[in-house]
Amino acid sequence: MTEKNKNILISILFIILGGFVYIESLNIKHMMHNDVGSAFFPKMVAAVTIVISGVKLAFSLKNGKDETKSKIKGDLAGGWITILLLSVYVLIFAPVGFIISTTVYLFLQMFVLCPKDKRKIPFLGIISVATPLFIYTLFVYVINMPLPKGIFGF
Amino acid sequence: MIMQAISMIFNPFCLLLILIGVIIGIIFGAIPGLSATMALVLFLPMSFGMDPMNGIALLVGLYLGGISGGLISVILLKIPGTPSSIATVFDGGPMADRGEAGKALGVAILCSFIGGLLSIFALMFISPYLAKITLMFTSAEYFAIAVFSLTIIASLSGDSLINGVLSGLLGITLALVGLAPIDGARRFTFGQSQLYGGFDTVVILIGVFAVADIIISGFNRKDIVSDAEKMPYNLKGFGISAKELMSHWYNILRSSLIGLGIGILPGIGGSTASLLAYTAAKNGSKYPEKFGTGILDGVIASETSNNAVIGGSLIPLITMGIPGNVATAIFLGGLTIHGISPGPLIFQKSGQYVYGIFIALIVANIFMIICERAGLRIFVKLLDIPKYILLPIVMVCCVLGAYFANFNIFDVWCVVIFGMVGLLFKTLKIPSTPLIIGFILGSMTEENLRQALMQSGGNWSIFVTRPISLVFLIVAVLSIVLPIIKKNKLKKAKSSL
Repeated sequence: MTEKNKNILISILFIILGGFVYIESLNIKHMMHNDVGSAFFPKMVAAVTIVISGVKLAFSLKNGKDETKSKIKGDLAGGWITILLLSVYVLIFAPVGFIISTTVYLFLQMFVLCPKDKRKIPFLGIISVATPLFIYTLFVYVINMPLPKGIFGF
Repeated sequence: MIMQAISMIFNPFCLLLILIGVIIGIIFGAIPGLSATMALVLFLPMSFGMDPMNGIALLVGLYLGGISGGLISVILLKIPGTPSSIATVFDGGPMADRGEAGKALGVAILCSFIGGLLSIFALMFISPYLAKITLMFTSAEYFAIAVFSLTIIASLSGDSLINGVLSGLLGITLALVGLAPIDGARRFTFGQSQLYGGFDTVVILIGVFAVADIIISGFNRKDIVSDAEKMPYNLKGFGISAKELMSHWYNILRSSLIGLGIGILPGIGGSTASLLAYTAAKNGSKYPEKFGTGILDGVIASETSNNAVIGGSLIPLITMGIPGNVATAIFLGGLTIHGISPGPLIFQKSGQYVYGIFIALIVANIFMIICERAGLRIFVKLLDIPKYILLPIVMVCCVLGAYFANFNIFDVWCVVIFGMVGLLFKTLKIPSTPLIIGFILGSMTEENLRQALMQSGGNWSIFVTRPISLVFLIVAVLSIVLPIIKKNKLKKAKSSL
């Protein structure tokens, strides 16, 4: 994506955000007589957001051709798999329980990040099991702060 | 009374309690999701059963240790263990990335000690006078302070001011979610009961800084191994020479005063103090462009000021019985249960305990610097763990931090969502710091704006007719206009060359 397109994208995203906040705040009820109301501040913030992103949009459109492309470095697979693992982890965190979800997440995430020549499965496995057990003992039994038990009851 | 206080504090059991308090406090401060407040809550019942001075000494140790412990995780893992360490991330994080974690930690510990000590002395000698001035602050003044603090965004926006402002506006927008101040109207909750309480600062902080960082390292996983080879370091003392430290004396003094001032004002808190001190250091610096790239000045400003808040926040508590934050409110509970009622008469009624608190604070501060310095080598060893092992474990800590904020699974999901927002911001080159500032200050701005307008019957002139408010607003305008003029002058000078 060129810098120019990036700026246009930012402006449009924020104009949409501002518009959404403004429309939503029309529904906020005014409750007290001598108060400006709970809709006042959101409307103000939304209006400022729209004006500023509008100015940015105008500037970015006016600026002539800009061909400086920002390169997307790095490896897309590693990034997307990390996002996927994270999302699945937080979704199963409560239903499956802390210990199991964390063990599975830790193992897979380490496997993904670890370079191929250093992947020692037993070693990664031991860390993935030991870490959640240690954390669970520390929080649940020592500090007395509950963690999700999940379907298996531990 | 002073001698009586000294003899109460300097008995072995009381000293041991302070030491235990400091160590537990540091641990609570360093682990994301656990905070100084939580440590105080957990140990408050235990302190009830003790002799008054011993109980109070334990609480003092916990409070002081909890506030300063946050610097460890913020520098090493970029997770602010407590919100008051937020500004330390800007320069402490990059220093650790460069292999200078030991130095950053050493200096942060030393500055926490100095900031804490200066504020304790202020508490001892000038507290009654300061307390009187703060009584004159009404919501108009608080609104003006909030507006002034928001102008920080302008100087923390990096290359693009407009992107920074938009990021700050998104932060303010996020702060709108939940029950509105004053009348409690539901806003932007979309029928979801989890949103009634709004987002938690810790959740946004962890998401935007730590989780976004972990996702980005997933995209750069090939570089992860070379990063793991840290340069060797040889750390003596605190990683800074006396001469170098002296060259920062003005920054230290200014940051302490800012921390002290913010601490005295109820309801603002350490995170704003560290942001304000950071900005003041940046604006007053000869090399403002280096801020955010990992320089000591930033770490010094943030860590000195957030510890100076401790002494400051105890001033209104002891002299007027007004707790300025949750931690001091619990502290107040601890005092009253032992029959010590803070207020103007406290020096006459329970003078020995007041002096006891002062001495306990100094002792706790000394224990803090000893414990943290002794643990420094162990803390830095954390970074020797290969990143492909460390990062997933840090991620688990992030999830825990979010979960413990409210024992709510919804917050855990939010942490990942804000991680994605942080990633999007990085890709689009929008600075994420203003988002946090906007979020922290958004509700304070709105609440005081509305309260002030209610007092004045809707008359906006209240903000310019009250002198303290006017001064803050003028400074706010100047702090935006002056840098722009300076920049334009530089541009003109460059183009005429």
